[in-house]
Amino acid sequence: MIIGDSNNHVALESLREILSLSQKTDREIARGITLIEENLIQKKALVSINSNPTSKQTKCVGITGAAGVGKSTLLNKLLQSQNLSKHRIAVIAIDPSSKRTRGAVLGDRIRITESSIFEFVYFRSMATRGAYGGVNKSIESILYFLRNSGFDLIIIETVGVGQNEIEISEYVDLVIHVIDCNTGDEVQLEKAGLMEISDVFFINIRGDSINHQFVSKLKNHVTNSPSTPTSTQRVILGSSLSGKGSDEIWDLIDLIDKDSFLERNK
Amino acid sequence: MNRSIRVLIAKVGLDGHDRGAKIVSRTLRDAGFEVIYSGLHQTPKDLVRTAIQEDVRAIGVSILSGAHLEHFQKLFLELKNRDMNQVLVFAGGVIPPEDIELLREMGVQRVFTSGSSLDEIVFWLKENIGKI
Repeated sequence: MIIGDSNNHVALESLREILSLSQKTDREIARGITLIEENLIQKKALVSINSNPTSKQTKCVGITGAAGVGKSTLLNKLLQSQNLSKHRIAVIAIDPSSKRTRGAVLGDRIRITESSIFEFVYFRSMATRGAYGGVNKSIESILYFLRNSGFDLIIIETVGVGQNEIEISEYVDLVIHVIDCNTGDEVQLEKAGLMEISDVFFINIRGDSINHQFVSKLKNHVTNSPSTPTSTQRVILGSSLSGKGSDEIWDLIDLIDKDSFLERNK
Repeated sequence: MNRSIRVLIAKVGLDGHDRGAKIVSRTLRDAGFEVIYSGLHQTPKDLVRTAIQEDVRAIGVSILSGAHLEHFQKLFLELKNRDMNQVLVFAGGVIPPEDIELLREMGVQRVFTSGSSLDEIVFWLKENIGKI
């Protein structure tokens, strides 16, 4: 482990330098994320080297849902529908690593159809590198790093998930769960896990077919929770491709007032 | 250490033939690389921005449109402007033999024309990454 420790030392020195810069370019941010990821730098190590921690609120939003359901496509419309110069936005988009070879094809960037978006948004594709919770082992450190690099909104797109990959809920203020309207019967809705931690169900209508039964069951489900009568889960009927419903999501992002990250770390 | 080598595989300009780029992406994935695929119709400026944001060590550009000289010229100009000369650049696609030397002079480290073996690409990339 001696080699690892000395590498960490070098990486932390570089990260200290990057964090101390008042203005960070994309290149410095990109380098910082690589250093964190390669050396598995813990958040507490970053806290200890950061001489000027930010006190500004940073909103963190997670987009999750099954593979191919329309997460990146929704992200594209979310970014298109905003005046991006108002915000400083970072996106972390995660795709799976191969267990056999550790390689990955990271293909979330291609859903962003207007390249001008990247002038305003720092976009980083990441692989899971052996993590199975839907995100990546370094996500907490990377969020800390991005918060301290001047971003006011961070959007994390998880890998395509099933029922049990709920780690995203530990790191964000708002979990948007993109869901297909043919996702099963009402017993599926009662299950713990992803259904439980989603703040927003974004039903992605594809083509003309709307399964009205599923939509009304889901709406009923979120408004009639016996144990949590004040449940704030909500349902948006929208379209990732056309962007219908993205204004409602922005309204919810604007309403985020607590800073979960700071609260958690008190 | 939790390291993987990150590589951008890219398509530029008006060229919709991406089967080669996708096959190379999957091959590099199976060789342990993390491949960021650019998607179609990128400009050289887009590619350099992506290379910066994604912190890649190499850019592989696939071109089958015949516009390779123009695109690579612009790509190297942009890499120079953004101080990204340390990135390894390689090319693939339909490139006439007489243009290979011209591309090499611009800074393309290696040209893999159609018919190149996938093993050769992996071997070359592993040997040369980090060497410039």
